[in-house]
Amino acid sequence: MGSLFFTSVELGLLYAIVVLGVFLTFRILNFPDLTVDSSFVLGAAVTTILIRNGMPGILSIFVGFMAGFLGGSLTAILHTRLGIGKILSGILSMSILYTINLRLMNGPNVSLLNQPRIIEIFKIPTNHFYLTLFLIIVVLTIKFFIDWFLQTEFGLWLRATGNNEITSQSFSINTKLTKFVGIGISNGLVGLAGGLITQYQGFSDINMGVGTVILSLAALMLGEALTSKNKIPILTFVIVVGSILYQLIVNIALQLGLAGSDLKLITALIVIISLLIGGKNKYQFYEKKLFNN
Amino acid sequence: MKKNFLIINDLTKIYDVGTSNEIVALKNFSLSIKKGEFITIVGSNAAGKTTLFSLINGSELPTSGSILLERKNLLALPEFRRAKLISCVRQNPNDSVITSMTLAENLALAKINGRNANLNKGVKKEWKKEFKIILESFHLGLEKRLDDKVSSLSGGQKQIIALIMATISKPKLLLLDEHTAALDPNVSKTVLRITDQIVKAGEITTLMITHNIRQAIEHGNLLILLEKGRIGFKVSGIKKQSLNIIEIENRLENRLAKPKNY
Repeated sequence: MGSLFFTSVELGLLYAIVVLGVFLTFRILNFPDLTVDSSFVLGAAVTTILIRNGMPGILSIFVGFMAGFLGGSLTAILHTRLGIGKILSGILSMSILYTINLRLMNGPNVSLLNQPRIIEIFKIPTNHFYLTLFLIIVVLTIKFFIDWFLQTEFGLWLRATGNNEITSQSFSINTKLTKFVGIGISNGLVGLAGGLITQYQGFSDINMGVGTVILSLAALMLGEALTSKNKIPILTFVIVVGSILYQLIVNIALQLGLAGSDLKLITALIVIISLLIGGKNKYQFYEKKLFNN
Repeated sequence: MKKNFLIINDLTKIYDVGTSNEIVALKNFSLSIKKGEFITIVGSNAAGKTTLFSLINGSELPTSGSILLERKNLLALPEFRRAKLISCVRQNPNDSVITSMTLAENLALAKINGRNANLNKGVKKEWKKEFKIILESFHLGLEKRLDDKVSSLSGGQKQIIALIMATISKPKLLLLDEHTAALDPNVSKTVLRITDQIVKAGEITTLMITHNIRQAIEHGNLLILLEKGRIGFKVSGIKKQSLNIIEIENRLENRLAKPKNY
């Protein structure tokens, strides 16, 4: 049971990076970005290939970020330069990246067996403690980075863009730029997480990104249901907690005898329950984000 | 001073050109004004008031004509670049402020207006002191609410914050698009009093659209009546003060067969 707890916390922390990225697009930029499902795999694929070619695992943090950022900027360009709608831009670059990912991995999956990984510094699997500590440091660094970033002048621009694009333009905010940077950083974080998770599980797979958006939303809503406050440092904290809670719930459900194939149903149930706890307002909020574009 | 601060020349806007839906929103509109003038614009619906503002602030492009602000060709600049020169307060109190951010953050956005944002702290301490002093000068207690979300303010308070935001970085031109129309009469009076205070203090050249003829007469130094996209008449000075409100209201409602020429 102890191992189950640690595994959940570790996965929760790893996915918390994805959730923080999704928070930037869905919550801050008001941009329901579906690229995530593919930029996650892109980060994983690029990291895997580079590690197999001799890159030290620790560099994967930067490489995964860069790869994800590029994936996100594809969506941003489709949307801001070619004027394609938010959802459709995400879907288009999701398909484009699917092919790119397959090409990169030269097949549906690539193993990292016998390759030096970032977590091997901590002699996994014997020591959950150090791995958890390492992940807590990574996640908190990213959390504090986001808190800081959103309080900077550019962060104010980003938040203004998400709240009211037309008004933002009347304060000479270049909303094309803010969207590009916001979506880029968001997918960068997702790619970074992809790079870490591929090392955690020891392989990358073309389907590992399926359902990342809904998983992130579940964690996001679970976290937001924990607080009524609307301050950014509090939100970024509760969504990390939400991500860990989500993994705990899923793992307990699996322990209780549910099959892996039931997970999507559980995720949906978590979203529904969080929405009920969070109240009607939050439901409308998400509905607006998802469908009003 | 010469009347060449803002020169609008032969401005025309036609929607859906060449189709059966063709609408002439603004026709050969010309106007020259000098720095510091406060102009009120009245007109019935579809007279072209809002179209005129959209063309000036860049949210729409004209079919023909030119707009020069201090000899700069405004039409060559995209909307977010014009925002450096032109500020706008709109009718809906939620349209000129960022409701999900605090008062201080909103005012900081207005301070950054006109240059690129950097990665320094958004709401600087010295700015906050400045905001406090500005807000105190209006005696509305808003200085105590700098850290509150703008969404918690009333409509009138939002418009006052919008006015301060619009003028804090000293724009060349202030556009007020029926900014008191959504407020109740008392609040509307307060907002207009503060508008006068801000415009006078900053000597800001202002164009104000209003449906309220009394407001248009009481405020500003030149009144323009727009009719079907053209200037119906322009009056200023004593002539403007002696305008007959009811007569103009009737004219706007097209009740008079032959409009009297002023």
